[in-house]
Amino acid sequence: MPGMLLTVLLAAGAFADAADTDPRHPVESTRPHEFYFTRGIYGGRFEDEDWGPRWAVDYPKADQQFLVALKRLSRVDAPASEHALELSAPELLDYPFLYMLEVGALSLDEEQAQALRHYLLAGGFLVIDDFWGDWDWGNFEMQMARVFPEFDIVEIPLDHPVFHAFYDISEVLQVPNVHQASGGPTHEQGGRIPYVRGIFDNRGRLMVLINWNTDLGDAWEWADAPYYPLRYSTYAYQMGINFVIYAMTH
Amino acid sequence: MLEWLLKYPLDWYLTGKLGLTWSWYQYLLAVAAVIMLLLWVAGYRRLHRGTLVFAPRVLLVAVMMLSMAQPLLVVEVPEPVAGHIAVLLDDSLSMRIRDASGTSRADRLAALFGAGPESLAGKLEEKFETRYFRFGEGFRTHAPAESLNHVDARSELGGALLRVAAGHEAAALAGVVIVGDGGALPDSADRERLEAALVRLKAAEIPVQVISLGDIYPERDVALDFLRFPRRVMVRDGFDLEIGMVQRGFEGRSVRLVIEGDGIILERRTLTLPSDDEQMLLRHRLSFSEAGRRLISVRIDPLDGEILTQNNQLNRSIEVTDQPIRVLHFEGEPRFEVKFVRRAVTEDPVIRLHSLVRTADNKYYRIGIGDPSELAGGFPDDGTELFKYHVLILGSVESRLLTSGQQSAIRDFVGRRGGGLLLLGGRGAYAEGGHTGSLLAELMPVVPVEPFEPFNREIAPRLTEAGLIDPLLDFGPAEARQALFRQLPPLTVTNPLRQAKPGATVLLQGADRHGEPLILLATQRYGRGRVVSFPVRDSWRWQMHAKIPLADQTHENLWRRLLRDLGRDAGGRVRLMLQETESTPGSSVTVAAQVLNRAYGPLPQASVRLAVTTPLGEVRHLPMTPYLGEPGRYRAKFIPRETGRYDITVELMEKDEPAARAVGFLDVSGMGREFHGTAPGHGLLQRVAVETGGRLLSPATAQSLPNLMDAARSERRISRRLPLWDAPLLLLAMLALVCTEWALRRARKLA
Repeated sequence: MPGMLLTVLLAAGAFADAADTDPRHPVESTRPHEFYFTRGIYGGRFEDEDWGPRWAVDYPKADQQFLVALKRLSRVDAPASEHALELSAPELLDYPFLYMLEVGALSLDEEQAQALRHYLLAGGFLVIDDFWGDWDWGNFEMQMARVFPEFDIVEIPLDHPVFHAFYDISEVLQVPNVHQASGGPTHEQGGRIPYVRGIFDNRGRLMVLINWNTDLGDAWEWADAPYYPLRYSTYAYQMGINFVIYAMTH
Repeated sequence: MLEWLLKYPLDWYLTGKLGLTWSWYQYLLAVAAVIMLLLWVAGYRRLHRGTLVFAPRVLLVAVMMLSMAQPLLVVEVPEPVAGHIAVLLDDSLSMRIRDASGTSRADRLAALFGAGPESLAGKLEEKFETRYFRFGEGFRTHAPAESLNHVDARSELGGALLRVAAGHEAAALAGVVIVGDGGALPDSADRERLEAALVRLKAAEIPVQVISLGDIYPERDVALDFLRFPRRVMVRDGFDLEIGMVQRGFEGRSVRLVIEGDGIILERRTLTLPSDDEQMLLRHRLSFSEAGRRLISVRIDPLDGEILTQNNQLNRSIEVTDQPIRVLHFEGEPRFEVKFVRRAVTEDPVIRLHSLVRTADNKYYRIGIGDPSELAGGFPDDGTELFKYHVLILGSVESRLLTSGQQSAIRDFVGRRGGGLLLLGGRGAYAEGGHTGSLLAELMPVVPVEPFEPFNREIAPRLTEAGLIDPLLDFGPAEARQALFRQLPPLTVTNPLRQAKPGATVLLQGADRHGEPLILLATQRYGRGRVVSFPVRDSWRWQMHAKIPLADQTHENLWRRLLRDLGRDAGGRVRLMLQETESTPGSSVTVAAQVLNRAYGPLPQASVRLAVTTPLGEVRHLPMTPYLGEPGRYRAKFIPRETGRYDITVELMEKDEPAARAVGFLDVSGMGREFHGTAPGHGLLQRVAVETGGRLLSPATAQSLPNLMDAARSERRISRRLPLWDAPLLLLAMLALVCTEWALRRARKLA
């Protein structure tokens, strides 16, 4: 049922509010939103001319469709449009929620690593998505070790509040990309088991939420496609909304 | 001779008035008698043919009638001497204070009231019946031969005067003389007794003459005058010790001040002493990280040549509490403020933050709840559940989201329960949220702007004059606060508030693009509680901003301070009202308490008891009795016998079990405050003298006291109506007239 609702929503409401631009203070007569779905722009290896920069995979459609569902299903006050910022941009600190994906190719320079560290320790929340297999993991782990040499990446158990902030999630699913959604194996690059892991600060606060061996962004992007399985898109939206509610309240 | 004839002195006739005491029927009888007399005279003339003979008889009748008319002389005369003089002698410890020559106040008193005809006592006794009393800790009669000990740690002047004034009705009192140094009254109970005594003395027109011995002041002395700090603080709460000191004879000298907490030195400070009699105010910031009762001592090391060292130390207790402050933060929509407020107070050992966020229509997310049933139905419908909290934060909560019952509960939560209410900004707040004219608007310290027009501006905060000193923004001294707030990043305001309500205090403000002021932080009391408006939507930018270093604690400190301060007045159902925190052994201590029902209204006819734990660990239970005419107020008295700290607990008993309690403490010291505030106590004594029509005398002018009391007595005059019917002059006149008539009759051979 929630999945059907999502499909209808996306068909009817996508891009309806796209003219609403991203700055928090556009004009005095326009109220800023509480939440901005901010995508982190980073320079990475293996940039592809056909697919564009790795940070922008699924961009902007996935972001826009996720925001439509977020606004319709919850009371989160958010714009309908995408919002992307460089990791080292000072104004990144105005947006305490950050989404990054394809981090298997992530390559942070020192300035970006320090900016990300400051952002997260000051209270920012980072959601990582869409990277697969051991090679991607190894790169990501190495990059995050530059950001937080003192913190380990740990498993997040299913009884953690992030799985229950809005929807009760009882199982971690592997969400396939759009090419593998219509049947056959759902994994890529040998990443057969999906994981939700995190980096906690020294006070036990979750700063980075890592979705490994899964692709929530593709499910958001292709939820309006009739061939994309409802089971996966429903799960992806539920997880995404949980992340947002959790990020705004913890 | 003349006075004998007139019965009274001639002066009285010259200054007084003559009158008659007849009533109307007596005048009627007199007129009838005159008519009859005239008729009789007419007949007499016919019979005796002459007027000379009857003239004496007519005059005799006239004099007799005058006498019968009971003539009066009305005069103003001095009141006759009656009653005695009460002399109250100060027997307290402070009378031992000596001047540079070694003469103490007690020496001066002994010189004035010692034996010998030249002493003041002798002169008083020549003119008046004089009775002596001593006062100090208590009051009793004093025999002139008996010597005073000057060991009492209290000067209960109020009690002594009241006893004398009350005794006036039994034994006439002509005047009162106080001989003492006029030190501060020991407690509020004695101040009340003093007021009652003054009322009685003024009504009876009894003057109180005062001989102040307070002019003997130590020539070389450094004294701690007072030590002030809150009676109760929360763990890790910073608070100021205020220390007052004065000196004489040591100007410019260095002195070492030591502050101790439970015997552990917390601060050593070297001070340069100011000029003579100039009060020096010192502040010291202090906080305790663990709960419990602490004894704070402040002392000054004695200086060479200092005459009085008993006033170099002051001790007072403080209660450091970790009693939780339960805070409910309600948001009508998910907002980052929830996250950052939680983050700011999560390590505070006192604050328990319970967050309730409306994540979708009819869907709530609860964070930090104690049990599964807490807030399960959303925001509490009535006071029963809401009153469990001490502070309520309302964020972006539209007016229509709260029923009238819920808004009434919020009003009672603040007004009756004494809770704190914090109103944040957001699209559901103030005018934008439809709160104009709502029940909630009544509580606000600001006036929501109507009609609402969209507004969005980043506003740089500026401290107002009040903000520079208000404890709510306690970020150090005024200069430090000013510097701190200048460097903080601007916050987003979408609820422009320009008008504070009368009685509200604006602590932070900014300006719109026209330079017009906007309120950023305002506060006011409402009933027993307090309301704060903080109409910004992203205070979290003081935590997460490019200008804010990671180690900066401004955001954390602001939120902890706000919530602790707002939760401070939200006491339980029993509220202890101890008028004094210090006393001396043997003095009666009154403990009062306000007891409330579950809806925080007055609870009359409750079972309330007082438990007193003595310094020796002995626990005494005393029933508390209700005040007449004040429902819900109870009191009990006890008398501390030992020195040390007394723990006081007031318990509301329901079904023989304590249902609610309040705790406090009392420091009992043998020395009291007798040696503190040793400057002459002229203020108090002068007031007593002036209000009763007496005079304030020094030992040098005390010898004029007998004459002064005489003059005071002669100034008191009464109106007297003196009868004249039996004045010898009238009787002699009648006799003379009878004799004259007899002589005339003999001369005319009529007799």
